[in-house]
Amino acid sequence: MIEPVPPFEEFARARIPHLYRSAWLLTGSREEAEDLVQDTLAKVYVRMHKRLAPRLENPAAYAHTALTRTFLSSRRKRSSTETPYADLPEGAAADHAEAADLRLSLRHALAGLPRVDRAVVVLRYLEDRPVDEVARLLDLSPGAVRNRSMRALARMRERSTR
Amino acid sequence: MNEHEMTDVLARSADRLEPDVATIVAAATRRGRRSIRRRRIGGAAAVVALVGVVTATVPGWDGGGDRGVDSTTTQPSGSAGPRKLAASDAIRAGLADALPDGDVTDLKVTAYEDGGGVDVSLRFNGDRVELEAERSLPPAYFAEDPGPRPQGCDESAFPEGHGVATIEALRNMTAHDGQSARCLNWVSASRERECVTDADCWDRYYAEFLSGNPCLRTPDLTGCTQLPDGSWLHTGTRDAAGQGTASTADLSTVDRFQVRAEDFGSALSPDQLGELVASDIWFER
Repeated sequence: MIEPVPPFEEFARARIPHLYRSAWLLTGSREEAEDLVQDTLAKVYVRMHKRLAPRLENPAAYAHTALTRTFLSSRRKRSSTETPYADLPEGAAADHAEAADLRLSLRHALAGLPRVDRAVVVLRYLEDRPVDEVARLLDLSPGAVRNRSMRALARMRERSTR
Repeated sequence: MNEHEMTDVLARSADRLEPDVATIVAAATRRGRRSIRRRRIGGAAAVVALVGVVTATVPGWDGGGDRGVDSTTTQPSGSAGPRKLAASDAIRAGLADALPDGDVTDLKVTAYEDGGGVDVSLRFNGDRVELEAERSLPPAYFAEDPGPRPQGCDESAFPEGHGVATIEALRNMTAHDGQSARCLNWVSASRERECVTDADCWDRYYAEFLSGNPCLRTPDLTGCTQLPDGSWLHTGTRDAAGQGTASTADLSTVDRFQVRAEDFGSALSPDQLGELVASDIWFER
């Protein structure tokens, strides 16, 4: 069966809001989120223009996977023990008040998590991916994903009530 | 906070975040192109030998003589020989003269690792301005060897012809099983290889794709100007979501250099950017 694949720019425009949402939750800053999405989409661009490789059957899934892997492998960012949530987006004032407040709380709650745990939270609860898929993506065992999910929730709960 | 609440909180918190879609798309495209360029530089020699010479047909964009396989084999009329991009320091110094009077800060000039281009970023009267100059890769780099025809692959099952429409149609299809995918990829690569050896096919598809300059495909487009040396200049504005309107200028020279400029603000007009990209500061003198 043969189906059409959207051109890169059309695909990118449609996916950026989703990718950016995950990227912002992973990095905690608008600037780093934009950079992460740019890196990710550049990889998608290359993949889409790789003539001899099999066509991408699910570009959206490919892009989200690339985003997570790029985030985790990025050496120019901070180490896993540091928290990148150093700056609240400047544009928060222009946002809807409730969403801005929520972001403040969430930023605080996510701030203490290691990078891998933050990725687990985003993949499991924002992107709604099953445990097995998250495990494959992050090179963890399904048990480790469950443990990290529970641990992250507990830590976030603890921080959000301080 | 339980799992359901977490899902809800994550979704709502990221609500109303408004990324700069246009800028991200443009930057990702640039990075992607560069990545392809770097990857193909290394393994291109054999392909170059096989593909041979390609000629361009865009009016006035024909430097004459052999071209296409090596972009440095042609030059704009009046030049003594193939041009080379200037060194980073020379470009930095040249910008000081070429820019209008104003406050220039955060100037950064970075040469590509392969020496085929240079990136410039700066702030002009507070606006972020980005420029780049690069030598386009020859057509051969973009037509990889399709290899032997896969067993059982029937080319007649796909749209016939080697032109733009056929290749685009093939590129926009995806096969779900291994055999069909291999066949589709082989047919697509074969047609592409034939396309780059055909001047008309090259100009209609690759020239614009590689340069991003719409004048190469549609010379009578608003904002397109052909300069005396045959280069095509496109100036205009674009919507830079989240950052208002950006001024842009894009120059494609007859010897296949691209010089682009973008001002995310209003400090420099499209015409001023046009003068900047068309100035001689980008090349060795």
